[in-house]
Amino acid sequence: MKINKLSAIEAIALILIVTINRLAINIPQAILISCGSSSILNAVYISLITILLVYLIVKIFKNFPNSDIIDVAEFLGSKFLKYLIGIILFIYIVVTSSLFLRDFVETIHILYYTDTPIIYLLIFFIVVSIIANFFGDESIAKTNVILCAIMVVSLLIAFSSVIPNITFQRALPILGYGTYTTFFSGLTNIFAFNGLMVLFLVPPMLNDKKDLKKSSMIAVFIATILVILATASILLAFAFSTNISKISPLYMLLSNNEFGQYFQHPESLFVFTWILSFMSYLNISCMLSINICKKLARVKNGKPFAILVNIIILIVAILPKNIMQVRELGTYISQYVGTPITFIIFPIILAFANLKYKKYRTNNHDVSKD
Amino acid sequence: MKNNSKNKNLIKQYLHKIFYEDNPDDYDFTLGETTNSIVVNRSTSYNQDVQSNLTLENEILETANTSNDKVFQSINVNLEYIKVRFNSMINSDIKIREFTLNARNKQYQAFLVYIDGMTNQDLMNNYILNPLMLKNTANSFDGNQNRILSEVKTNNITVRKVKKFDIVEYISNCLLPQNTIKEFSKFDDIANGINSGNCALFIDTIDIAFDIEVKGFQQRSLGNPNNEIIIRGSQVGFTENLRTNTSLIRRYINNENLVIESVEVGKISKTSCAICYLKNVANRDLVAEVRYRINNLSIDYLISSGQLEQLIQDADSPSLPQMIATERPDRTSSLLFDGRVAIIVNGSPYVLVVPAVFSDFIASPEDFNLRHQYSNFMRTLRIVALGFSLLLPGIYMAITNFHQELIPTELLYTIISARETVPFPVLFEILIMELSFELIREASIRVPSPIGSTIGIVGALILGQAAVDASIVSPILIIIVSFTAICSFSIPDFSLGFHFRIMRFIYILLGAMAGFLGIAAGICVHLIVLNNLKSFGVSYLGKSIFKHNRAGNGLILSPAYHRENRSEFLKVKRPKMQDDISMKWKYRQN
Repeated sequence: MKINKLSAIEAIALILIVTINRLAINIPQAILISCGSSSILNAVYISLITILLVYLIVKIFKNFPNSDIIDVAEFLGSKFLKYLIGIILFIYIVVTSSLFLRDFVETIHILYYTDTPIIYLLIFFIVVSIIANFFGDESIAKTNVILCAIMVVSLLIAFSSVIPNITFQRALPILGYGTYTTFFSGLTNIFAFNGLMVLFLVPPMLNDKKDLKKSSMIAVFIATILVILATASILLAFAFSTNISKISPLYMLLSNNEFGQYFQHPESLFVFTWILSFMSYLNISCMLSINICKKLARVKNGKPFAILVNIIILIVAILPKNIMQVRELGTYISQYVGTPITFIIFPIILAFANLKYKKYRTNNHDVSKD
Repeated sequence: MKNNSKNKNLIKQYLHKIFYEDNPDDYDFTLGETTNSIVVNRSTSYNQDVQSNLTLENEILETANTSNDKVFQSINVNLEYIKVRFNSMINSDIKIREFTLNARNKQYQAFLVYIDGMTNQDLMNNYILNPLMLKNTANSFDGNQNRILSEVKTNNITVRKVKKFDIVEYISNCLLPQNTIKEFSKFDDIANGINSGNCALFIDTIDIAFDIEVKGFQQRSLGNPNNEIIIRGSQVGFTENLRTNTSLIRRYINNENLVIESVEVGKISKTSCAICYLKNVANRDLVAEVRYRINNLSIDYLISSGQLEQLIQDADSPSLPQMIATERPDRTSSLLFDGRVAIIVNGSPYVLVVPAVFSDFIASPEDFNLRHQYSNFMRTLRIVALGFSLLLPGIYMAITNFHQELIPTELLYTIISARETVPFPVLFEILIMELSFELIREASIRVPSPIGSTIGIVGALILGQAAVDASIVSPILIIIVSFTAICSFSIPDFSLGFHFRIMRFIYILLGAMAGFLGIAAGICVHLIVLNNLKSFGVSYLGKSIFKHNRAGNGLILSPAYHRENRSEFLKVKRPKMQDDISMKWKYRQN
């Protein structure tokens, strides 16, 4: 994908924003429900595995500089695999973005806009995404750096505000529902890092190909810290048996917290930063989808796709009947589609492409790709 | 009966006056289509179709091509030409002085052309007319007409190399004690000189004319900058005169590498502009780009630097300023030292400096003159003020309509009780106050300065208090609008202040539409627009503005000894502007 080149910081922010946005919505809750008091242990465990997997992905990407997974698929299995992977990626990004958008909008609808129709709220996000994508990739990436920084700071403030309410006994028993649940069935919680799928699309966007390793590792490191902190904050502040079904657990955490006499309920300020961050996430999702469309349709100007992609996102977002359906569908897609694609199928494609590359190299074939 | 008919006629006339569309008694002037003489000529000579002749395009309306008109040898022909070209019969300030010129005891018919009010009369009388008209030793001397340069004798034949007497050289070198005299053969060059305040001397039998610099029009003397007032620092501002402005810059940059290129903009006005840069610092591509943009303007006239700014800026749609407009020579010089390019327009006391980044507009010229702690404190204040001036009314709108839980309970009760008597919704209330404030601000600028401040006080105190008493607005809103106004006054750049004033209304509407969601959408789009913006190839909101070891253009100003680097985004020829250890008296290098 020959688009405007990203600096290392922009790449880090791009990888990070896709991952950390889910923290405010449902990731800690999902980990808590599945692992109980061993959630922190599980979060640390999946974080370590993710770091290892990201390291491996970056390693096997080394032979394909300036290529994304679609290019690699084309190299491995000609145009058929290219279009197959491209379409799967496009559908996955659009569907997850739509569901996530609906989930987020439902949350703020419950919190602040109970009398406002969902479609009205959705349109705000969609309009921003259309405008952003008309302005181009460079401005989206630069804006994302600022908004991502705001989101990280906001999360850190939120976590630190919980410290007075922490009770360490809530992390006991340390193994929660048992070893099997924590380390085997709990492995599915790796879906928390599904956003790292963006790693497979980032390489051609980088200004310096060496930045991939650096940006990926820094981004995943920050993301893992935030996931652990989010899980720890909620587990240690609430009893794990507390069932927070509808509203974001992080929001509940903040609204139950005391911020002094003058700032009684500043949680809407945190929600404000999450909205900003989510808008940036949607801009990036749309940007990636447009770039996939550009690649598959072999066109240079992707701006006309901006409206189309956003309309698809809007339509998919309004399809589910209620928030529970959205969450159910979202969790299903994340665990049974997103995780296998991100951590199994794409690495396998890369591994086979590497084998083919080595075979070609030994046969003195020129496989250099731009 | 007669009276009746008279009355009827009067009524008829009255009704006629009111309802009749084209009353012949009314004086009515309508600017209609006028046909240019050249259009008529073309239609008769080329016999083109009627439709094409009626279209009054610029190309057709241009006057006859005079670029090839050259000075004639006959003084009478030249005189007639000048009279026609300058419309001297109807142009009251075009003066033509005919006289007899004495040179080497010979007399020539001559005339001077100049524009009254643009020339120095003393200079013309004492140093042009006096030496040319009155007989004196210089013009009465009649020595050898031809000067012998060399002489060789062979076989009784003398071969002499002779330089013939040249009247043009003689007048220029011996009779006119002026420092700037040019000889032109084309009427266009001569006309340009006369229009810019010089006088032209035509002499019989000579097919060139002298362009003598005798500029002497009235101009404003140097004064304080009106809109960039500082406490500690220079108190001199630019004036309307181009040369005065360039000399003011030269006073700060005593270096031959300061290049001041002259360019003319405007097909009719031919406004003099100057592109200034430090040759050994500024990026060559940047200078070329500035030159390219200015040289490729197809406009009839240019009056001010504000007009030029809009013609050469990168993006038209955003209301953000994309270049620095300053009336301070010290600030301009400082920016030139940084590696930027300044553009001066004759007749405008504001100099444009390019490229500009966002942080330039929140920096004050005083920042460099103060200790970095003071400057950073002021900058922080300005950034906070910037945020308040842009978002405070919108946030108030959002909080009162959608996010009431954010307000402490006691304050919430106060707001509710204050709004109890107000019959309007918050949006209406806030728009009334903001519009009133904008009107007061506009009125106080337009009225004469002694009344201006009075209007401000009357508007702010009496109108605000009266509005509260009349239960049109709540007292808390007066505080919000006043505080926003105070914050907006702390924005150092006038244009950026305008941008924020416009955007404030948009944020109010967004806050009313969807609370924090609307404001977040506004901020997101605003940031994207800012990030998309470029000023002469430089990103407007680049990450370099966050670096502090620069020339003071970042958000944070380093101590004076630590400003080693020039602005990174300028890609200058000399990236460093001081040594790593600049205070060598303190830290000796071994």
